[in-house]
Amino acid sequence: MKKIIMISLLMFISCFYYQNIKASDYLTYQEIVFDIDGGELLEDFSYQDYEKYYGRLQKRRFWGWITLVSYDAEEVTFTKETLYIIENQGDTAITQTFSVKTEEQVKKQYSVTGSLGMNISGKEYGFKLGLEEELKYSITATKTSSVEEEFEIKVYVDPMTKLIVQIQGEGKVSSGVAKYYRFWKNVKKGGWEIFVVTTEYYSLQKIRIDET
Amino acid sequence: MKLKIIALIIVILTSTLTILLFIEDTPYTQIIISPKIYSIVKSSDTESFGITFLVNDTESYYFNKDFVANIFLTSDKDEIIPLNIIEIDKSVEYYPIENHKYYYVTINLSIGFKSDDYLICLEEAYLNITYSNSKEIKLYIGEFNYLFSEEINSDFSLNDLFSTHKTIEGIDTASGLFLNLGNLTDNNIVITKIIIGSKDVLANNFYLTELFEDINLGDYPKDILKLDDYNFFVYGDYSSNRILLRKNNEIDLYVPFSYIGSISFLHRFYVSVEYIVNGEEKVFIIDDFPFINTSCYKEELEKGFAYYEYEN
Repeated sequence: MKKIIMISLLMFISCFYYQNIKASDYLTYQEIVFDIDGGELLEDFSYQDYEKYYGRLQKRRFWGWITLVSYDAEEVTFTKETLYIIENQGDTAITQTFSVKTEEQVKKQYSVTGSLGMNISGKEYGFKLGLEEELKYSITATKTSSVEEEFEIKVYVDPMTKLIVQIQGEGKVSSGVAKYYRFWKNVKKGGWEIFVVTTEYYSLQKIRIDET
Repeated sequence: MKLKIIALIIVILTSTLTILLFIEDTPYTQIIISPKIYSIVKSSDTESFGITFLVNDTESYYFNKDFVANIFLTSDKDEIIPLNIIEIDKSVEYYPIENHKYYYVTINLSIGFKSDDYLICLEEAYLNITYSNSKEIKLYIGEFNYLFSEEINSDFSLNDLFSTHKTIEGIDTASGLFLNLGNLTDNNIVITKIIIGSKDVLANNFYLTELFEDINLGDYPKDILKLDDYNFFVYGDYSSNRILLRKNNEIDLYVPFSYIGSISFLHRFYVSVEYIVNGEEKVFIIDDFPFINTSCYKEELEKGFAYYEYEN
């Protein structure tokens, strides 16, 4: 009976357990699928996951980070939102030039939960308190670049059609938990995640507009 | 006491000066470039393209627009293509090679002359820059194809366009082209050939085919074409298939690629569709499209990097 009460209590706590997540754009992607079975994003970590990972962290320290890597550059495939480009509701075909601004291998994107902090813009973009520097020694080094290129494309759009550009791609996800100490006191703790887009595949599609 | 303080200051100053004497300025500017296939259609007056490389020192005058006296492309056949610099972008992001940091520099350029109908095709292109102090650099950038074409084609509607991709010899690259074309004319059209804007990578028109099933980006050419195997490194200049596209109809087409040159990846390219309508041979140009968007600076491409070193 005790066991049942304990399990029920645990499940009850899990239901209300909520880790406030601060994240970059990638969490708005339509779909992210891990190549490995059972892979999950930080936003899907459960109370039990956090307890398990915190339990694996080393003992407290005088000052600084202790970290744990639960996913190390795991490969994922994703579908981004569809980019709507041109809609022609007229009676005659139109020719238009549109430009797509792309980044060659998009920058790293970040998420944190709990009391971990991140800067979401500017030069200091990334985790606060030098967490990434600490992680570089443990996660697989990923070379990233972010060179912007603009593509100008001229297209012919038939009447009652719309032109869309769909983006699918591949990336790598690293995640885990971390605690930050000052004078042996744990002052910050939570989950962290780094998402790196390695390749994007663009496709152009023309769709007939429903006349009804 | 005063003497001790003065002595201490002298010792600190002497040590600092000695250390400064041994710190050398960077004597060389190192440039690393990943040669690739440039395949561009000039479809507007603002058309530009970027050439990106890695450098050890972004502050070097080699990357200062004000010091550039002349910039142009050359080939091994003595062709010269004048260029205009639009801007030089320097990134704080870096790419590490053997524990050294190399920063991204992109020179955004436009072609230095105008034309209505002209193809620049440099199979081995070099970027040449001369500076106001008469120094020169010459960098191998890969294959350069630039088509001047502002003609609007109203015979076709382009309904779908994507490239299948496959890892060939360790590099993820375009393996074939899928497109859906609609016939906007009042006549039947005969499609004779599909050409992509490259010499190292060719559309293998022997296998140009009409498709009757949907395909995905990751499908392999041999499965799409229902073959036992497809060899990416074999190409023959076979007579092309002729595919009929009836009036008021549309068609799904697929053509696989052959890799016959030194550059073994293709990400962005333009397409020419050759066809006959009303007995007249014509060409439909599809503007260059970023089929695969990824960096040319990554581990699997490092063996192809070209390294340069120039005195400061």
